[in-house]
Amino acid sequence: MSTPMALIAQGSFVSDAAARLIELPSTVDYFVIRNRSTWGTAPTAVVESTWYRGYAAGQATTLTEGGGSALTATAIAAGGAGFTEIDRTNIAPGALVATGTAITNATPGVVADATSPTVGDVVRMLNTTAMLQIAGLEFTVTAVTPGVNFTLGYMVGAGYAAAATNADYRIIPNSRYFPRRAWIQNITAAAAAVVSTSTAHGYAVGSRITVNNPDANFGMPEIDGLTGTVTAVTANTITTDINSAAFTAFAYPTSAVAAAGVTHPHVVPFGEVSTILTEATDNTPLSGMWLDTGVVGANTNVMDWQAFGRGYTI
Amino acid sequence: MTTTTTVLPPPVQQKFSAKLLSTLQARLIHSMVAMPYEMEERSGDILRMRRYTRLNTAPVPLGPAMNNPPVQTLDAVDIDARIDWYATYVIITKQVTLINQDPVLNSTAQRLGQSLRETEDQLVRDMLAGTASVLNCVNGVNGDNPTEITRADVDAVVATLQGNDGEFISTVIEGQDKFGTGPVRDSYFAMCHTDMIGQIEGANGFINKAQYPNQTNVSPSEWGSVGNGRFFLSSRGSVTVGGSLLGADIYNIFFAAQESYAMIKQNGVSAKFIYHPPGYGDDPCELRQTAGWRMAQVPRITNDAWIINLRATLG
Repeated sequence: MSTPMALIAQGSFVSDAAARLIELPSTVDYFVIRNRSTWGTAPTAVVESTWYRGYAAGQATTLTEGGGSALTATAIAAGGAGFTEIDRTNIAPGALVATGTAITNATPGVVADATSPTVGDVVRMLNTTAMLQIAGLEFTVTAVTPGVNFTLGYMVGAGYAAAATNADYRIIPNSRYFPRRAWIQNITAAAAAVVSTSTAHGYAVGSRITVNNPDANFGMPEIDGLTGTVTAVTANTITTDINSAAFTAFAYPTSAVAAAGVTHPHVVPFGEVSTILTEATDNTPLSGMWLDTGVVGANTNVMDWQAFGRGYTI
Repeated sequence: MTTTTTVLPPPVQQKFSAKLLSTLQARLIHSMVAMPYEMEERSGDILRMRRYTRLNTAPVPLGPAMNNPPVQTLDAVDIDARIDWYATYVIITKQVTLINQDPVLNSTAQRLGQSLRETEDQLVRDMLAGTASVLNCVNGVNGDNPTEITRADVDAVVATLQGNDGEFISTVIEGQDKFGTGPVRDSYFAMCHTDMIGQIEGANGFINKAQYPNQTNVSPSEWGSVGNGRFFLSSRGSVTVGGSLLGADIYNIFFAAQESYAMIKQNGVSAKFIYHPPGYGDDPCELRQTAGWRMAQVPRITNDAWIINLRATLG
């Protein structure tokens, strides 16, 4: 008996050396990523990394190219900076975890917590005493030190007056439909406004979005309800064609103001330009692969990836 | 010795009641005001809808030279939705239908129908919960964020939708000379969970539907109105578990204007009930029958300025 693999999805990206999530249309059984920039150029670097179903979180099988283009079989052990499969086809939120003791008021924010989520998880932060600006918001977890802390990589907390002295959370699967609403962490005042979101937003160049900022406590009320076209993206930023240069500054309110009742700014999908089809509303419970720093390539490297699944069994 | 039922019990001690008990069926409120679209066969799996954007007004007189004014450019937004397929089924042995006293297949068909329609409604609900613009209730006094719903919060949503030129769904129900009734304003439709009953009734200006002057076209799922919102409730209303500032459940109340969202179905497959008798497929001894449904559809907000998710906690 054999179980042939079918190609599920493939793509490329320019690495910024930071860990990232590759969203996939279904769960996968085999994932491979190659470094187009360094392949055959005799660097001392990982040029190919693979993941098979059954690998532990953070694990990878790698090929490292040394001097003279010699390839060496290497590996990243479980818990390392390799791959972690993300499967959120079940959209029920996780149980309340009430063991966190603090969140730094820094960018990114670091949560002191002995109970760790997994890198790539989306967590809703709750009961964030003294930092109630973020209570109820979801964040992508971008790094974990097991038993010690985890990082909210897209949290723009440097402007907050105080660190949180408590930090409960729930793990939140993404909503059933894509593209989805995303909470805003920051908006630049610029000729092309850049919106930072608290989670990986999934929007693509050509998406048309509406920026909702109905609460004057966050500043920049002029942008409320404006629609724009996405001209560039990173995992958590959206560059738009909205000219916000003359707008008042955006800033999160104090913890006390947030506690008194606010509506957090958010971005919602509006439509798309006629040349793309990738932003069609679709029921896509999130599956994906988290690529940690050991497999994501160096800054500016072009990375090609492919995901395979068992389409059928014979 | 007296002959009692202890001595002489009836040989058959039970009778099956042919009148089956009712099964829980949630009210389907979310698909109620969705615009129906159909995707033609052999047209791919994405329906593209298009809306032209408004042109500017031209209030400047041309003057005696009668020169042409600056030209305007047409712009349009494309709104795409990809059809997904859904299905479920049951397998029933021939023995089950032979020995059960009630018509099992009839009940199966009813339950499958319920499953299909509730699936449709759930998909619309989840799409609205994940993609609609939100507004938190902030005028309550429960100390949470969002707070419990108040009249001021309803008015804020209505003002936003009016500011976005969203059209009311229902027109005025005029007052009549009937004791205890009052006129109902033209309204947006608000869809939410039945847990909100007490909260809605506590809002200033609440009118129970029993107090509507005219009961024509009043849905069983409607509870009443507050300001310019008529509230429709379901036990399957949308809840964001543990989402508030204090970790309480958030109730999502979807305020919809006309043409704010759509439900797109694939022509030729929607609401298809499928029955295969014993002997169909790999069943050489005719021991099993199957019944199921399949459908292909996708819900989509067609104008995000015309639908708002008003979020509230319980007071």
